[in-house]
Amino acid sequence: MNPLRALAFAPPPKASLPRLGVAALASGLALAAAGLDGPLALASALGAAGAAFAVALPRADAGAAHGREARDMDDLLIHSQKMSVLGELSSGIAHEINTPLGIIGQETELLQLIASRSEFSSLDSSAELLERIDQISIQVERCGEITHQLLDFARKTKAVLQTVNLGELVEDMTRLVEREAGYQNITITRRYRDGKRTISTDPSLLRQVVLNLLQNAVQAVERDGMVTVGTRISGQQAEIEVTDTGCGIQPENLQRIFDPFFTTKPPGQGTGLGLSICMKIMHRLGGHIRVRSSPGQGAVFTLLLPVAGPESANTHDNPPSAYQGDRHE
Amino acid sequence: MDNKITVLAVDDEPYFLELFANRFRLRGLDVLTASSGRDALAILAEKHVDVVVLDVLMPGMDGIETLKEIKKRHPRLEVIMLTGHSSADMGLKGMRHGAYDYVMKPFEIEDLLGRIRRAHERRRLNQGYAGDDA
Ligand SMILES: Nc1ncnc2c1ncn2[C@@H]1O[C@H](COP(=O)(O)OP(=O)(O)O)[C@@H](O)[C@H]1O
Ligand SMILES: [Mg+2]
Repeated sequence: MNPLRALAFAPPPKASLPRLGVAALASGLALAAAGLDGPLALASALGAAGAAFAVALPRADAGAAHGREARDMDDLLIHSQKMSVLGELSSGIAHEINTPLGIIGQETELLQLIASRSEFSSLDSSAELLERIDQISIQVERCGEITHQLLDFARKTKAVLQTVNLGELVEDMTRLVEREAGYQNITITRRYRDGKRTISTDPSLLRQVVLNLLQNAVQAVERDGMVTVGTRISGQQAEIEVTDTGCGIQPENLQRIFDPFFTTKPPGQGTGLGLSICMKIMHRLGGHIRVRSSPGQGAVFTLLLPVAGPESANTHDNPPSAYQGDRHE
Repeated sequence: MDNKITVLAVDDEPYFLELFANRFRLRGLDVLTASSGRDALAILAEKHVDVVVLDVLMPGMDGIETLKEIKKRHPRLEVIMLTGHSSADMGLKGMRHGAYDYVMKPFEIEDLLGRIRRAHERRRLNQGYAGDDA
């Protein structure tokens, strides 16, 4: 789907139509322009498009009849609408980019074949030629990963609930990052309580979230520090906590880290999609993410999950039908 | 739970495949083997398989590439990735492309058996939806 068309699919008006229209037009233009400037501009334009919608959608007036609860509800509504606009946009763009990307990939494969024929392999610069072509295919692969993440973000993910051993799941993911962390002199400390208990959740979705948090923690520490992983169950709630001694998060960024495309990492290291996908998954699992941090003091990310699993209504974005039910459409 | 689970093991190491097949057959699984990603796709096109156990590091079409192709053609098939060395990046890639689980070599046989059973259970839970892929 064309991104501009995706905008036309924006979620239905709880807000005044003219304002939404303006937001759509403005962000559409920004996106169209950014498309010409390359992926980085595109990412920031997507962020801006989201922001434009957030402004256009209704805000609870402070001090008015709205109570705190109503305001929270409104915020949630704004957030979910913003996410769904971004979802449509990003999958539209990802689909559009995937086609030419696939062609570049295939052409590169052909180039590789041709370049290894005798008429070329006898050339002095043959090794360099092949190396350059390899580099193209590496970068194409990288783009492919990014478009895949974009699609992931928009995908309607269905949770399949199973009985999961809390400590085992967390430990599996911890072991995955431990070796690399060790190279950077980062120690991983375990604080598993109730690790033998089981919860009802989607293990492969939860694994993805835990691994994302662990990877962020290790990246934040960079080297010489500590990451602490803890689990516990209190009442009907399971908690998984990842604490690090890294750079921490600036207060003004705390609001934004769950936004898709928000990243403070250099290109190639971060796409800014990790936490937004985590948040989406956690909602699907009937839980949420909490974060505490002060700059320079590290960060604490806490996953909160219902022990008994999400209420069935939450396991779908929409009522199940043949294709929405699919985890990978 | 009582019907037999069919597992396809994919690894470029013939000795590993043989050992794997023997040990899991002893534990009541039906085991098919493939020595490459392409081989695995060819088998999946013809035979019913419940769970795939896939080596991450293979020459030619690597584990992630194979995983992507498998998930494209058989979205509901559950795949367990096996890896010789741990890496968060590779793990995340696997999960993002729909791997059910990620297990480090050397694995304990009973542990992997448990994971295969859970992957199979997931597949059955997932079957209420239209369009089976086998
Ligand atoms: N443990 C952490 N410590 C400090 N900052 C973090 C941590 N986790 C996430 N962040 C901040 O949140 C941003 C978004 O994270 P994420 O969505 O995972 O994307 P990415 O890791 O690709 O940047 C990061 O770029 C970083 O600024
Ligand atoms: Mg991240």
